[in-house]
Amino acid sequence: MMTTSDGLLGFHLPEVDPDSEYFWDGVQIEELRLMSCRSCGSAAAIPMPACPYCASLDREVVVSSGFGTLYSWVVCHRAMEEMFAEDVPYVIADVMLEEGARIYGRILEGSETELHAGMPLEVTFVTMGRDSYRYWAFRLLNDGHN
Amino acid sequence: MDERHPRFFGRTAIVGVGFSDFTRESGNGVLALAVEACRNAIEDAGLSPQQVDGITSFQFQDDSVPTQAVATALGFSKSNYLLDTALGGQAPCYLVMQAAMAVEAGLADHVLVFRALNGRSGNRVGTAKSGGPATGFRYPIGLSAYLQVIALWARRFMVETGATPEDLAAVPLAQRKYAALNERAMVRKALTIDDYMSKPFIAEPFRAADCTTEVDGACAVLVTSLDRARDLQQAPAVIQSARYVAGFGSGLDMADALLWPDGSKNYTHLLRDDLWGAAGIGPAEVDMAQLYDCFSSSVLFALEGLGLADRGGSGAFIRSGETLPGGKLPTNTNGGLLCEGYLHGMNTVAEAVLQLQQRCGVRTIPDTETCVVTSGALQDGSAMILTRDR
Repeated sequence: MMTTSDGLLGFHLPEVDPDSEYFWDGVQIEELRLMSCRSCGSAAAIPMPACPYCASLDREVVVSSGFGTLYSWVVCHRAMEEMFAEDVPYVIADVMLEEGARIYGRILEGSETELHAGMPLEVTFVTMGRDSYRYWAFRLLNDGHN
Repeated sequence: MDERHPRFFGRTAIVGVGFSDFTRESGNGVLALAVEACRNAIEDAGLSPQQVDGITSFQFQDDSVPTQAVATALGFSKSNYLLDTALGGQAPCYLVMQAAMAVEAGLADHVLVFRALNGRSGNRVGTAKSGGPATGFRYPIGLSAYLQVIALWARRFMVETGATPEDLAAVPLAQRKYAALNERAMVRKALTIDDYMSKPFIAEPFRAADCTTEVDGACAVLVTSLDRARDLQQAPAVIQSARYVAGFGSGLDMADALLWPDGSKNYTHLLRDDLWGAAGIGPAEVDMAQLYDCFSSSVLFALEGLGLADRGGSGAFIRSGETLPGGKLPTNTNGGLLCEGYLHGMNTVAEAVLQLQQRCGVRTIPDTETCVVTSGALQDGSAMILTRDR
C-alpha cells in the first residue's frame, strides 16, 4: 500500500477557479493567503469577489501568520466516503486565525488529544492523498503560546 | 422588532395533509410518491385535483421531481402558481409562506406544498455530500457529510452553553416515547440513556440516536384562504405568523459557516422577536412545538433560540418531562425526523396541523390551540405559528 509521509490518504482535489486561484497557488508554496479589506480592515479566508463585511472591492492578498485558536471541531469516527476509511478517526477543526478569519482544517493527531475551545494551533502544510497534493492542516501548540 | 404585518397572517390556513407510505425501499419512483401524498392531501381537504391551481416543492441536489410533473400527473386543469426551489430543511415553513402569499395575493386558490424523495434507497442524507461553491475548502479533507457540519455547530453550542452529552441524549430519549405511539415512525423502539451511550460516535459529539432516520416517502399539505378553509372538510390550521431569515454571513453554501458570527446560535435567534410579535403571543404561551430535528442538537438550538427554554437550559427542560404529554410544551410529537423519518421537515409541518386538528390518534395532545413550527437548523431557516380557528 502506498502511503504519504503524513499518512493522510483520503483526499479530493479542490476545484480551482479564477477567483480562488490566488488562494490555491499560495497553498502550493506553503502560504495561507487571506483577502484583507483596505476599507474596513476585515480578513476572510474563503475567496469572495467583494469584502463580505462591507462590500468593498478595495482589497489585498495577505499571508496569514498561521496562528489561530480552536473555535469548534468534529471528530470523524466513521468515514462517510470510502477514500477516508484509513484516516478515521480524524479531526476537522473550525479555526479562528489571528487575523480574524475562520477556516476549516484537519488537526494532525487531533484524535489523540483532549481538545477544548480556544486551544492554540499553528498552520502546517502536508501532502494529502495519493495525488500528493499540498494542503494546509493544523497542529496543536502547547497551551501558553501567543 | 419588525412592525410590518404581512396581510396573509391570520387570513390563510393549512387545511389538508397527505402522506405516502414511509418505507426503507419504496420500489417506486419519486413522482409516484409525490402524487400519492398530494392526492391524499387534496382528498383530506375535501377537494378534487381540478380545484387545485398551485403547487410548490423543494429538492436537495436533484433528489426530487418538478412540480409541473406532479401537476400533470394529478390532472390539474390549470396551474396559476408553480414554484420549484433548490433548498433543504429551511424550506417547509418558507414554502407554506409562499403558498399563503400566492393565495392572499389572489394568484391562486388552493396551493399544495410537498416534499418527496427516496431518501433511504436513493439519495441518502447520511452520506450525501453537501455541495456548493465552498466545497474546495472542506471536501478535500473529509468534511463533506451534513452530520459532520452540524456536529461543528453542536460542539460550539456545547462550548458556549455548557450543554453536555446527556443534553443531546435527552432529545432522542424523549422523542422515542412519541415514536412508540406513531405507526408511521420508522424507529419506534424505546431508548434508554445506557442504550444511547453504548453506541459509538459517528461524528463526535453525535452517536447513532442523534441522527435522523432516512426514509423513502412523501408528505404534502394544502394551503388556502381562511375563508375558503372554513367550508372544507378539516378544521383550518391558521397561519398567524411566519418568518424566514438568513443572517449575516450565511456563507457561499449551506456548509460554509465560516463568516457566521456565533456558531452556538442559529437562525431561530434572529427571527424569534418578529415571529412571536406578529402572533401576539410569547414563548411561554404556546401550547406545542414541532422543531426541525435533522440531528438532536437542532432541537436544543431551537428551544433556546425561540426563547422556549433558557440559554443553556434546553437539555434540563427536556429531561424534566416538559416536552412530553402533560408537560408545558409537548414537542416533536411524531417522534420527529429522528424517528418518523427525514422528509426534510415537511412532516414536521404536517404533525403541527394534525395536532391542531386533534387527529393524531393516541398521541393527540388534547386542547392544543397554538403550535410553533420550525424548518432548518443552520444559518437560515423559517418558522410559523399556527393556531386553531378562533
